Amino acid sequence: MLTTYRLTEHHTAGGMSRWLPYLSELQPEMFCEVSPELADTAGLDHLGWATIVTARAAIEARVLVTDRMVPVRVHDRIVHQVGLPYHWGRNGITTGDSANDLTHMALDPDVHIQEVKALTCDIRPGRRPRGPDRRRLVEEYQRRAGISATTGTTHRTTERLGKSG
Amino acid sequence: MTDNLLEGREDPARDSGYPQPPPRMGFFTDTSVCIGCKACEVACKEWNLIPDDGLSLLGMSYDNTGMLGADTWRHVAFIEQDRPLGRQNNAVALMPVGPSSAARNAQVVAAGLGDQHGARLGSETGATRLGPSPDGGPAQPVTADGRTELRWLMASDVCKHCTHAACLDVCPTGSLFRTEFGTVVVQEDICNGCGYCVPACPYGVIDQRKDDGRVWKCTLCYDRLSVGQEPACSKACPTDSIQFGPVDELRERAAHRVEQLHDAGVVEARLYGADPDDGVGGTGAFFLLLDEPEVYGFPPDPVVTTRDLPAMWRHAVIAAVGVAATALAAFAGARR
Repeated sequence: MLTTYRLTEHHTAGGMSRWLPYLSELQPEMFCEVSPELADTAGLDHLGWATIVTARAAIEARVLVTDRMVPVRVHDRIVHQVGLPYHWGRNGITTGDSANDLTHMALDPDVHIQEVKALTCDIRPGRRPRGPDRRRLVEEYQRRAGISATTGTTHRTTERLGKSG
Repeated sequence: MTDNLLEGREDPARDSGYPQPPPRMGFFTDTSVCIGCKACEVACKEWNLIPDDGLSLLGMSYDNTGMLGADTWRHVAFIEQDRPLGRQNNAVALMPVGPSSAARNAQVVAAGLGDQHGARLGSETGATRLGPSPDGGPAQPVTADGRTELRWLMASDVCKHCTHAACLDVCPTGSLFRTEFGTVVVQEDICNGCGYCVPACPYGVIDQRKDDGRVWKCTLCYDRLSVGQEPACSKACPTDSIQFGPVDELRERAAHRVEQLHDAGVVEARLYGADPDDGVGGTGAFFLLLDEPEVYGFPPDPVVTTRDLPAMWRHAVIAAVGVAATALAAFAGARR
């Protein structure tokens, strides 16, 4: 399970703060935070590279293993969390892959705010493939998961209103 | 001991020759309310026009600064500690967790620092330990694998502006001087880059800029103080973790704060550098810590490095006189 958040050193997607040396040096690189348990399971090393894959894209980030992240038990399943700051992009003094490439097009059913706090992902050691291989990797995941262009495009609000009204 | 000191005894400004100095000014950094926003680091660099010192992910929690240096006059340390803070209970014992990653991470960090950051800054680092406290203090509740609740310590480090400042004692050019506020400042137009002050500092604060060789450190914003303003870092601190004021008043306030924390059950709260009888005569910038000083990368018992200098010179003179006497005696003996 993947969640995104911000750091105090950067502003939104970093378009302004990643151009400033004083802020960039304080958070100089895109990273993902994982628990020691997930690091062991997935074979990730502290300060090594990881590739994070969702139904939409694959990005790479440096790994920070930390006790601050803990696996949680949901009913009878152990769910691991991957934490991603969303401040990086391709220009500025510090550049990196964008966490927002991974997030889906879902909006919360009540006020239609984008849903970026809980989405499923896979994490694997090493940097992501370059060029068309990156697309192929994501397509492979989509094929295995049976995801098509129409998956998850239902408008839940209309559905719910239709039932109640 | 104070009789042997070259510089600064009880009242550093008056001892340095200011007849009517204003009260000694300093910082009280209360790390118990630091939120790790790093506003002090940025405000310091903005005001003092310090260049950035490299984009390197250090892996020391959210600390990518590492240590104080020529281009870092405030440094916020982040310490992830395998012990609970106060009465917090995140029910970690009920979580499906394994052992802590702290020790393993610390090894990776130390290896990385040795190769890059430490080598570039010309000093040994890796002082900030991520591991559990060696005194094995209260650690509960504990999981089957020994992992406990976690606390995240943050602390903003700075030049201590010692009462007995060794950097000042060894400076041959007079570039380092004692201000009327009792602080220690480098004049960059006089410094000749000899670097004597760098090993003289018991805290490893003062550092040479590699491209021009001169040394740089916190000035306690001498320019701002001179016009009645507070330093940039304390001005920017949103939680008043960094407090600026007359040192006497700050020491009183700090003692009160420790008492308050002890009453609230935070028994590990302690002051660092507030004691005028310590090895550096107390510091102008002192700290409230929630653990042993080593955990934050501070030396536990700093001593002014010029303490033994007068005795060493006395020994050298005695030795020189002895050599001369022996030589004379040899010649006198040869005549016979």
